[in-house]
Amino acid sequence: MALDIIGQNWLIVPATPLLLASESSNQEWLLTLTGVCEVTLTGTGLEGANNGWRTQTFPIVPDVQSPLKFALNFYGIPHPVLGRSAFPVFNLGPDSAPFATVSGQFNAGVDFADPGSAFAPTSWEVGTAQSTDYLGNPVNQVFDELSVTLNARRLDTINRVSYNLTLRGQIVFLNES
Amino acid sequence: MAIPVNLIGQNWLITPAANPPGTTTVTVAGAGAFNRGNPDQLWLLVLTGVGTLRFAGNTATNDWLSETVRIVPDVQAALASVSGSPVVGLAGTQLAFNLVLWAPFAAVSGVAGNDGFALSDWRPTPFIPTLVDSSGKSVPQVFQGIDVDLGVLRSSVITGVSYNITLLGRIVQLGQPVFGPPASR
Repeated sequence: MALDIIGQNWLIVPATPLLLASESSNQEWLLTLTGVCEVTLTGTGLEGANNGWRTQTFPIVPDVQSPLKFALNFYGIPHPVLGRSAFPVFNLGPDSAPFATVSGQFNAGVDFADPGSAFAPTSWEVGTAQSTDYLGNPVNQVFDELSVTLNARRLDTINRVSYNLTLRGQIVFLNES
Repeated sequence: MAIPVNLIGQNWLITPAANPPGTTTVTVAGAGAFNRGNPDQLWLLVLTGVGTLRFAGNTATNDWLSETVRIVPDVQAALASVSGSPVVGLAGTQLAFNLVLWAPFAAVSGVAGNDGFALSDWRPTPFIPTLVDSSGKSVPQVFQGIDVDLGVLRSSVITGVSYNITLLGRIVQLGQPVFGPPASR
């Protein structure tokens, strides 16, 4: 289940000079997504297994519909009538630059700082999905989520994680049915 | 009143961004003339840096203490590098960045005596909706920095925050200096 995002921002801009309307389906975009999420991950306790460490991966699913719709309108990009039969998604190019970090933690259940408690983000990864666009053409790298793997030790509880994604890709339209 | 952060390291990147149809676009050949004269040009501005502060928890209670801190990066050096205008002109005008879109990011970069810390939200420092440029045109979304909501538990002290702010906007000349001198870079 995706993490609750308690604050998010986005920015989208063409990654190249704006193409002619007849070529706009090839337009590449630079999309920046930032935000803060609520999370709960506590270590395995003072005498817990795995030397106190607990590891878990969490999906973060930012709103991409808002920036894509903004871009279509602001830049006057020709597009099909938006709706269930054609909704915009972001099909990633070969490179992206995600970032995530722990933005909140504390020692759970005690009123002292346990010197053995610790936390660490291990990794982050952009998740994509394969699909077909509303015309039936394959689209192979539709942005789906950011997966963040966190570690908490002993009494440490991680309660905030934040992200900063810079993505390059194209706007494509899927058929929800 | 937000606590100011003492910035100890800053970087910036600025590049022209594509304009929507119907506005003038920069060309390489005309860049010099354009830079001094085209108020429609959109720019992509990225600001990164780290700062120090001292935000200490309350050891007398078992509760979180919350506070908003303010990060005010130097944007004028970046704007001056592409506008061909001095940061503060002879007539007292001042360069500023009027936003179209913004995507701030901030993180806690230093904690001492760690009982717990939290960064809960960020947002642009409230705009001054009545601002006008040197020609009298309204520029209601001039960037002034970001406000960041922090929390500390008991003996924790947040000693550093860092930021990565991506902005899309237009360079404007304010009729009179509104902001203080830029921080050293």
